[in-house]
Amino acid sequence: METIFFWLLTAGYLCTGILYFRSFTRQDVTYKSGSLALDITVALHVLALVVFTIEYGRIPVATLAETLSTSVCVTALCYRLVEWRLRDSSMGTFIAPLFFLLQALASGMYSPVQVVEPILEDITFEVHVLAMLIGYGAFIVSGISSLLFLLLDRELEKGEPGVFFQRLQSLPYFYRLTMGSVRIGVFFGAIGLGVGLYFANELWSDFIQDPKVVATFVVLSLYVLVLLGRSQLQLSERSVVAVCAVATIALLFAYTVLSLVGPTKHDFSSISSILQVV
Amino acid sequence: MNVYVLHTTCDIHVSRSPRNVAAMCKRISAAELCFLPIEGAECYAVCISNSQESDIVQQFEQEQCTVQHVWQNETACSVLWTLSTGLPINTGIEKFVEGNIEHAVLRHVEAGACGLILQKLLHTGSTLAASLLSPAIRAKHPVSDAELFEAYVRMIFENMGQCDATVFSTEDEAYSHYSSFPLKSLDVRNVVAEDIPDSHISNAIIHADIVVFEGNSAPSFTKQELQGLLKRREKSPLLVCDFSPSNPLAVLRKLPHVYLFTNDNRRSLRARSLKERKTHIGNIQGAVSAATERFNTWLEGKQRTELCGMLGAHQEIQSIFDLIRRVSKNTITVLIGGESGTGKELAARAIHELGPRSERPFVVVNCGAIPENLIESELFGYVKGAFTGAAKDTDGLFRAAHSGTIFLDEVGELPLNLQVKLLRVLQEREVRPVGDSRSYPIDVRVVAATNKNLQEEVDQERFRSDLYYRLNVVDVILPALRHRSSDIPLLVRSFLKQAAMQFGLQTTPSITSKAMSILESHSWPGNIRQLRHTVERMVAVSETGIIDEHNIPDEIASVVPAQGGTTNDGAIENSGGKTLRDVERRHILKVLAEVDNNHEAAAKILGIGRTTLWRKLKEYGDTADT
Repeated sequence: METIFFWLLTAGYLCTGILYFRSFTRQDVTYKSGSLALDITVALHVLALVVFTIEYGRIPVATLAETLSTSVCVTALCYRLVEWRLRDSSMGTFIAPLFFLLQALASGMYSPVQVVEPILEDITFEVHVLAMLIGYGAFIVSGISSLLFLLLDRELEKGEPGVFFQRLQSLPYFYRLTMGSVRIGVFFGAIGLGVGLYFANELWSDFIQDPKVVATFVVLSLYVLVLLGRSQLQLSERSVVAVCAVATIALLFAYTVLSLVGPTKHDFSSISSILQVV
Repeated sequence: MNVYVLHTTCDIHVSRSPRNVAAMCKRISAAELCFLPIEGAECYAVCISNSQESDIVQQFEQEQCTVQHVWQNETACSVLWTLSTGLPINTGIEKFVEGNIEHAVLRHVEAGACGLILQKLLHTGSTLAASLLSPAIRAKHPVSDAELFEAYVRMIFENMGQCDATVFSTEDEAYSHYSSFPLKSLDVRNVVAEDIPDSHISNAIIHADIVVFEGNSAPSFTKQELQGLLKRREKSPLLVCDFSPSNPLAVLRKLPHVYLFTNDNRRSLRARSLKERKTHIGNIQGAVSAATERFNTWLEGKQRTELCGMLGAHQEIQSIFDLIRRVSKNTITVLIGGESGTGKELAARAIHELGPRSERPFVVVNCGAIPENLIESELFGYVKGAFTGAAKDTDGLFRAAHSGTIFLDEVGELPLNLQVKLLRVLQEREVRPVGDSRSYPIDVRVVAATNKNLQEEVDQERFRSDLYYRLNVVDVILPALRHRSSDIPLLVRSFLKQAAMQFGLQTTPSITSKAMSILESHSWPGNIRQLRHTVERMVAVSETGIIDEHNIPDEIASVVPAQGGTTNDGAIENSGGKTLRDVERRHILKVLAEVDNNHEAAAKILGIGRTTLWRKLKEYGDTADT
């Protein structure tokens, strides 16, 4: 049942992406259809997570698939808030495909887990996970925003104003959005990391060797560099935004590739824990 | 009238100088002409003319203009709307106009080459664009130079109000163009008129957010020099707009934090915007067709040539119609000037009828016709017993016009002591009847008229300057008929119809072209009134229903003063008068004698109003003699 629901949500994000893209190419400045599709999909996603949490008595972050799907939901919510607050939906065209890809990955990898480690029911762990997810959501918004800044900047610099010139907001707008998202991301990321470190210290003595922890440190450092780049390091706006884009790529890498191929302690299904012990 | 748009190559000394365009307009006998530059010598000529297409092309060729393409009437309208608004209608327009079209048209208007038809075309284009394109689409798909500049600045700085801009230009108009943008600061330098040192340009590159080089004003810095300048700048974006043809600052493109915007960028962005706009305007063809139909109706119909009984298609009278329409919407005081017989009362009536008080009273006061001792009581009213004969309270004309309009004709004839009282009424908006101790508030729109030069009257202290300035808030000067002789056929045809109705004729008499050309060549010192009476007389004496040159009165048929000729009127030739005033006086007296001192008949023959006749006799001191 959950698998079907996961694929249903994937289809929802696909529709959202298509509708945003249609609005983008047809220069429908309202992006009404895309935003509506995103609202419906996110509402369904939240509903699914709530049902899941009630049914299993835990938040769905036991496996990479569950965590991916939950993070997609949180990021989509973050993005929708940004869209509503700034009254600009043009970014939806670029962020909705990312939601689709991550959700599709989650759906493809999803398999029901019957028994999970009891730590998942610990409130501290839940604070860690939620803070990290909100932080990641903000970082993804900043990543898309910085990418759009760089694309638009390239058009303007080359003197060939094209599709981005005609569709997107201004460079200062994307700069502000990037920095605002990074601030939120760093705030929640720091909380999540702090709680996580405290939690991990109690569980594992060698937690510091977990590649995901290391990667998170690196990524957060990059984002701190983004925050200090303009004021302390006298970097130009373009350089700051470029660092942000690199940090987002690193984040996605740490989040997906490392989790898939590298050894990590961030898998809380019982079987894998047992395997790790073995 | 035909509307033509010609894609042509023309001497830039002609096409870029509105004065030369005005001269060319006269040479090719066009009603209106306007040149919109494309690039170099290429331009679009917009021409309003009665001529056929082949004649127009020939006339342009004679003016050394090579015509590449001609659009006529409906298509021409679409082309002009495309040019003025960037609406992508299927006209085959590939090249767009440099600069602001509205601005170009206004410059031509000032020079006298471009009139109401072209302004109407442009206005229709703007209205059409406003109704079809939302502000968001316009902002995202800029077409005009101003829109393109604004869009580029917005993309880089978001808010123009935070930008310091320096403009270097070879043209004087740069300031007026750039001052329309809401920039934080603007420094415009004319590199031709001023000797601008390189250090000034360097400073602009170091400190400004936007540096614009118009015309051939861009300096040729080396890459190293520019790098040196940019090092002295904070790491903030710099927009350099290099609109010079040779692009000497192309090297800036590779430097950090610098955005270079050139003519080529402008062109490609405009082309892209046009394409994009097209996708948003599905029903544009229908809207354009409807607008074209409305425009044609306006162009051909009475709507353009008639205004509340006033007739005229000439540019001057059309401007007057336009002014009347505008001033009629409020209650501003209007002073109407113009020679006797030009239709001042009709203009005043039009102002009243087109305004919000049209349902309220319109009271006409002929200040020259009321005896001096009665004017005050006539205007402001009186109470019973105020003077001998004041048997009952009377409101007066000002109070009779309450909530409506009062038309003070021949206001220049008012005695000085009454001018003071009139001024007080206009300022205080209340009247005090003669013999009354109370004042009564009035809400009256005042329209005054005079055939005198009131400024001269003020200079000679015959008219109070304060009253003059109080009345002359808006002045409408009606042109003499000799200055718009092209309207004579229109007026004659209208008077023929009216005369036929007046005399109970079943068909309207026609007039031969020879007779019409005689009427057209006359100078009409009595203006439209004289023309009207002449036509009535011709209709009355005509036996066949066709008016030819034999029906034209001798004094008109034989006098061609417009060509500077003399007259065969013996009365004048042998008058022995030394001045024009003497000649006029003798002629008036002679006519009066001929009609047995019948003022009405004399005024009709002289082509002036009875009031004017009475005033002239009063001036000459001949009232008693007559």
